[in-house]
Order: sequence, then C-alpha cells, then structure tokens
Amino acid sequence: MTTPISEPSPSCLSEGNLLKYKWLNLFLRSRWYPGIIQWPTLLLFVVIIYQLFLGPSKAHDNLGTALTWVFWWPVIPIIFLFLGRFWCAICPFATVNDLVQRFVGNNKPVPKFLKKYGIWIIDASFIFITWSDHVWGIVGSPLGSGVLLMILTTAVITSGAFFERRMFCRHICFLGGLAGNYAQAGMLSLHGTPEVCAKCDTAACYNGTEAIPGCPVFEFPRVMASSANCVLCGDCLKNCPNDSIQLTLRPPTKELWFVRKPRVEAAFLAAVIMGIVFVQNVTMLDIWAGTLAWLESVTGTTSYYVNFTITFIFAIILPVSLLSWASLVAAKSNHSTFVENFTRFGYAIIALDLAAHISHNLFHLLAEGKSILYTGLALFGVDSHGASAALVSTPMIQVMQFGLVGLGFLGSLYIVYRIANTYYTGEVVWSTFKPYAVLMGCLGLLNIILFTLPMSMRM
Amino acid sequence: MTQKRTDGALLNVLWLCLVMLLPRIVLASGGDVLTSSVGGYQVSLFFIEAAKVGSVPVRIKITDKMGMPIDTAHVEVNGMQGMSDMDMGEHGHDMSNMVSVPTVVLYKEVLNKTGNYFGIIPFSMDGDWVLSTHFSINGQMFAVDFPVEVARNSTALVVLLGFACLNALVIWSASVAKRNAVST
Repeated sequence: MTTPISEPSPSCLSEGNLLKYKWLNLFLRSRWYPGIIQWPTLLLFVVIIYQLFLGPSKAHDNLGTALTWVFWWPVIPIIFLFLGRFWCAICPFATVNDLVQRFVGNNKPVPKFLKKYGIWIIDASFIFITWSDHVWGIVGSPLGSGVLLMILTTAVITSGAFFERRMFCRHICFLGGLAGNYAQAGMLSLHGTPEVCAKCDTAACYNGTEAIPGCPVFEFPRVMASSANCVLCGDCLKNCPNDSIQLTLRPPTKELWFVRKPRVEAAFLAAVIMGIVFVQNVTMLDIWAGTLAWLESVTGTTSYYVNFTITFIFAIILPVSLLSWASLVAAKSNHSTFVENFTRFGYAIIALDLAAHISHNLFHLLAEGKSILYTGLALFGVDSHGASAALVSTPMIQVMQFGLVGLGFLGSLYIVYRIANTYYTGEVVWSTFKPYAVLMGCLGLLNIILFTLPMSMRM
Repeated sequence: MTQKRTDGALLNVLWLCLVMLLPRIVLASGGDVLTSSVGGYQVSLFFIEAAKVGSVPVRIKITDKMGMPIDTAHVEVNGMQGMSDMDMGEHGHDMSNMVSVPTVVLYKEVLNKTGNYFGIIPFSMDGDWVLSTHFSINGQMFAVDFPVEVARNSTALVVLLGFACLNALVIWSASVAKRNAVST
C-alpha cells in the first residue's frame, strides 16, 4: 500500500505535475480508478455488440453503428491528443483481457517474434482492416462491424487466457501503432522522476505488488522516454513506494521535437496514415464515382476489389514516396543516410496526420452526431426519421477542418525544424528543412482540397 | 483484495444487465397464410419460409368468388416497413410515419392454372411490415394490404453464438492448461 503524497516536491510543481491537485492524485490512486470508467465502457460495449448483431440490420438505424463509427471512432484521435492513450486504460478489450487473465490466465511470456515484429503486424493489420472496410463494407454493415469486434474480442480473450499482462494491447491491437504515434503528439505525459527512480531498488512500477499488478503494457516508467505505449492506467502510480510518478501537461507534439530512438516502422506508419486519410476522404466524395468509372475503363474490369485496391495502394504510396523523395533530397546536404532521414523526419508527419484524421472524423461527428440520439431513442419507440442528424452546419465544419489542417501543417513544419536543429547546425538545418517543408505543404494542400469537396455520410 | 471485491460487484451488475437483455433475443415466427378479399377476389399470401430479414420467397394465390384460380393477373408487391400501427383507412397510409423506403417486387412467374404467383421479397429490416399487393385483372386494378411481422435474420445470431462458443472453448482450454501447469 502506498501513501498518497500530500505535497508534491517543488521540482514536480515546476514541471507542471498535475498530481499536485489532490483530488486528481487521490482519484488516480483510488481503487475505483480506472474501474469506475472501465466497467460502464464494457457495459456499453455489450450493448453495442447486442445492437450490431441483433439490432436493426440497416446501419442508418443501428445504435451500435452510431456509437462505434459516429461517436467512438471520431472521438478517439481527439482523446489521444488531449489525454494520450487514456482510452486504452478503459478500452473494453483491455477489461476483457484482464478479466479472463484473472480467472484462467496462464501468463506465458510474450513470443519473441511479437516483441521484434509486433509493430509491423500492427501496421499491417491496420492497413488490412482499413482496406477490408471498403471492400466488405464493414462500417456500413452492422453485422460486419459486429464480426470485426468479435474477432478482436476472440483475439483479446486468447491473449489474456494464455499470455502475460496485456500482450494483445501492446503487440497486436491494430490501433496500437496509430495510438502510439498520436499519443506522442498528445498533451499528457506520465513518467518517473529520474532522481527518485535512480535510488529505487524495487521496480514495483514494472513488477507490481501484491495488491496491484505491474505495468500492463510492459513499460518501465524509470526509463520510459516516450508516451507511445503508456495507457495511463495508474498502476505504477499506485505501486510506486517513492511517489516518483509524475503526470505532466506539455505542448502538443512536444515529444516529437526530439525522439530519442526513432523507429522506421513508426515513421512508415505516419506516412501510411496520411494515405489512409486520403483514401477515406476520396471514397466519400462525389468525385469517387467518376474516378472509379475511369479506373474501370483503364483496368478493363468492374471489380471493386481490383479498382479500390489500386486506389488504396496509390493513396498509401503517395505520402510514402513524397517522404522518401524529401529524405533523398535532404540526404544530399545533411549527409545522413536515406533511412536515417526517413525515420527521423517521418515523425513530423504525425502532427498533420492527427489534424487530418480529426478533421475527417469531425465531419462524421458533427454532421451525423444526432444519429446517436435518434438511434438510441428508437430503442424506446421514439421515431426521429427525417430529422437532421447534423450538430452544426457544413460550412462551419469546413472552417474547423481548414483550421485544424492549418494547425497540423504548422505543427509538422515546427517538428521538422526542431529535428533538423537537433541533428544539424548552420546552413544544413535549412537545407534539410526545405524538402520536408515542401512535403508538408503538398500533404497539407491535398487535405485542404479534399475538405473543400462535399462528403457523404457514414450513417 | 478490495479491488477484487469492487470488480466482482461490478461484474455481477454486468451479468444482470446481460440477463435483462436476453428476453429480447427471440426470433419472430413466420410461415403463416394470410388471406384477404377485394372486389370479389380472394387473395392469399403464403410464406414458403418464415418471414425474416433477407430474401424471403412468397407465393400469392388469387381465386374468384367460385374459388376458381385466376392465372391472368399482373401482380406487384410493395413492401413498407413500420406501418403496423398506422392509419390504413380509406384515406390511405400516413406517409409521414414510414421508416423505410418501399421495396417493389414484380411477380411474373405463373404456375399452371393454380392462380399462384411466386416471387422473392428482400426484407431489409426486421419488425412490422405491410405488403401492399396490387393486381390487375382485365384492366381493373385491385389492392390488398397484408401486415407481416419480419423476424431478424438468424445468421447474425448464429455468428454471435459461434463466437461465443469459440471464446468459451479458448477459456476452457486455458483453464485446463492452467490446472495442468499447477498440478505438474
């Protein structure tokens, strides 16, 4: 049992430690956290599953579809921005994992290949799920959405039943890569106090205590340099006997200004996400029908599988190619290798990713938001058909989208500048900065163009 | 220990909620014969299979006052969802309450001198539907409405149960593996 800190150390206060607020400190340490949010979320998940499988077969009338694709999916990048991976602490899959593990868990160690290639599996599964949504219409089909959620549930139950901690969340969850990238741009950071941790010989944050398990996602706050994997579950806070854990607010994207150990897979995913946002936008635009018809005439087949897959690959290759081009150009002046440049500066796309992702989903959230209420009321026999589902007008949404993309563009530019400034000096900083500035300009402009066009609804 | 007790209490609430949901997981029945008369003709609607979400084959039989089959009619059916409680009097349907677009199905296949017309109706949603049957005989138009209760498609339930069984199997395997590990 740990003793709640009554007064944080002055150094904590100067770092903006949010745990100085007693109510927050007590709440995060209490036995009710995160259960008090986890369990209602799990209950809601059960309702969603029930609705998706046994509710109305049309997505338009299904509360499960509305809650999943009009509420949860658009809100999740916003949560990552403001609260880091807090969602992962209350995610129903994590709760199911813990429940199964508590009763029948075998706690086998994580297979080595997952530790080594897990992030590539995450990247691949994210790309596959996005692709399959389009070719099989998962979002538009309650049954399809239900099957997807049940496949994930089965995977998480298997993980919890046989493997230790939250192996699924850390090494397999398709959202893990995206969540990790976005959390690094997020405003919340949990970490140990170096001078306190240096004297610690228990490592209770990682190993756990009798009452509270160790970090569920295999993080060690003592050496944790990134928020990419921390899910803010509060276990380390409860376990630490030295009150070393700090929860701090920071400017958005700050962690990306200097990534100590940049990974090529994270940089690759950053570019891929931009491509996926493009394809999500394009397929919801009026011009998509014309594009598809043109593709059909070029490929000579009307197969949607073939034509969409070509579009999908092109959309993903486009930002990856642009990043590769910028890295090659920069390599001429900064004399770093292509891979080094690609890996370091790929992280800069994350700010624009996040902005474009939120902007795209903002349309669904604000233009279709009331469908959550309508489909919910329909359960009680209240008919709202014909009523507008919009929360705000389309021009207002567009203004917000342009603003967000603008902020994302500036954020990405600034990250490029900071990274260049970290690794190089003098003229090389600017000669490195220029090609990446062109890259961000192209990606930002493409997003702006896409958001000017009318988009179709999910429901 | 206290954490476990809290989680246990919350788990019980979850089970209770699940149990409360169960009575709703019942499939509506179908396969009835519905009969109505108009203009001296008797119209019978047979559901070859239970009416459920998806493509459902139906047969319509038209006979005259003498019970002789009518083979020369042109028959069409419009399906409207969510109309069971509506005003279906002489002023027609209250269109403002409709919750689904009509589905038009043409009945062209005529079996030999039985007065039977066959077709497949694609029900897109479960719930109460009205099948408006329009038929013309010798240039005269007639219309009959049949209220129909459409059940959910059992495919979704089968898939859900399949996942439930699979997950139960995984949990059972894990518990056996754990027991074996402890005993050895």
